[in-house]
Amino acid sequence: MELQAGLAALERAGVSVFAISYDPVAALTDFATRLGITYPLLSDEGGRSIRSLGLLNEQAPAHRLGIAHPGTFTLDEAGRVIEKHFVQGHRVRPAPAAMLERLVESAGVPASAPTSAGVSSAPPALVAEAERDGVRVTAWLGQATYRPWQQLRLHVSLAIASQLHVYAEPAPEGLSALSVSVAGVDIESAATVWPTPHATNVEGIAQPCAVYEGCVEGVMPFHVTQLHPTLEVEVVVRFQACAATLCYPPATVRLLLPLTGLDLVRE
Amino acid sequence: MASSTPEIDFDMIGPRTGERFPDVQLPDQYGEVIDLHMARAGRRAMVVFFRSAVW
Repeated sequence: MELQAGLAALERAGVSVFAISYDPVAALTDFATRLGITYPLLSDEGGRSIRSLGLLNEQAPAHRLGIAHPGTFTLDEAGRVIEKHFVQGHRVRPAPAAMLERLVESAGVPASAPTSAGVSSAPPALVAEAERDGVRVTAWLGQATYRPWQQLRLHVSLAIASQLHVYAEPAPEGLSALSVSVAGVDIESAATVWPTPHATNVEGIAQPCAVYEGCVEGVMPFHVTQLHPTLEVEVVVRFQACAATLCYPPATVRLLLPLTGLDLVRE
Repeated sequence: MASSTPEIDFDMIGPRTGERFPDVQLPDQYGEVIDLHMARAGRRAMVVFFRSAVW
């Protein structure tokens, strides 16, 4: 687990890490030794705690009964749950870089840059960018590799030139809202999460419009269901940049992120 | 998401946001029983549930 790579930074930020699975102690001993894991890997053999916590994955196949829904709880100093993050299904699981990003975010530290606390998310490992109509579009991933069913987090950021804005959903009639989709073989994606837009008055439109100005970044979770030696993820970003009195036509920017596939076998 | 199984509302299962995480005492990879809340010793914590170290 690359979580180990971020452990020192999390520890410095005052965050302890625990992992729980239904594996017997001997399996965890072997796992920790092979991967050099130093944080506690807790063995809930039989899944009693997992069950009593209400986290038993009842959709898992019979031969894997006892596994937990993969996910993360963030606890504050008093031990209260301040954030929980789970993914659907028994096959999808967060990729290491995605997990570290979540951990850093929920620890209350910005994800994108190193901080005085020394915590940063995985740096972008794959980046593609293009500029159109006064908008610089950047797509990036925290890792350049994937394993089947690992949930990755695609980041798409727009740096919008001053005096311009792009429309968020719902866009006024006749105008296009910002959207992202991914295309590629065996890719399944979820909805992109964007920050809350702000309302602004636009000449000629009666109601205030939801827009983004300056910089905006969205995150789209996705996973790949099959192993491919290489896989091109095509990121399609649609938007329409407008100034106070004129608009560019709707734009479509296509960016390619070449992922390398790794088998499910653990290293 | 292309999936035939119904989606689970994770807000409704497991410990809820705002609640104290229940006490958990389990052996770690060295066989030593760890009390989660005692081990974190008043610090914030991430509790990661993962599927398996074996497969």
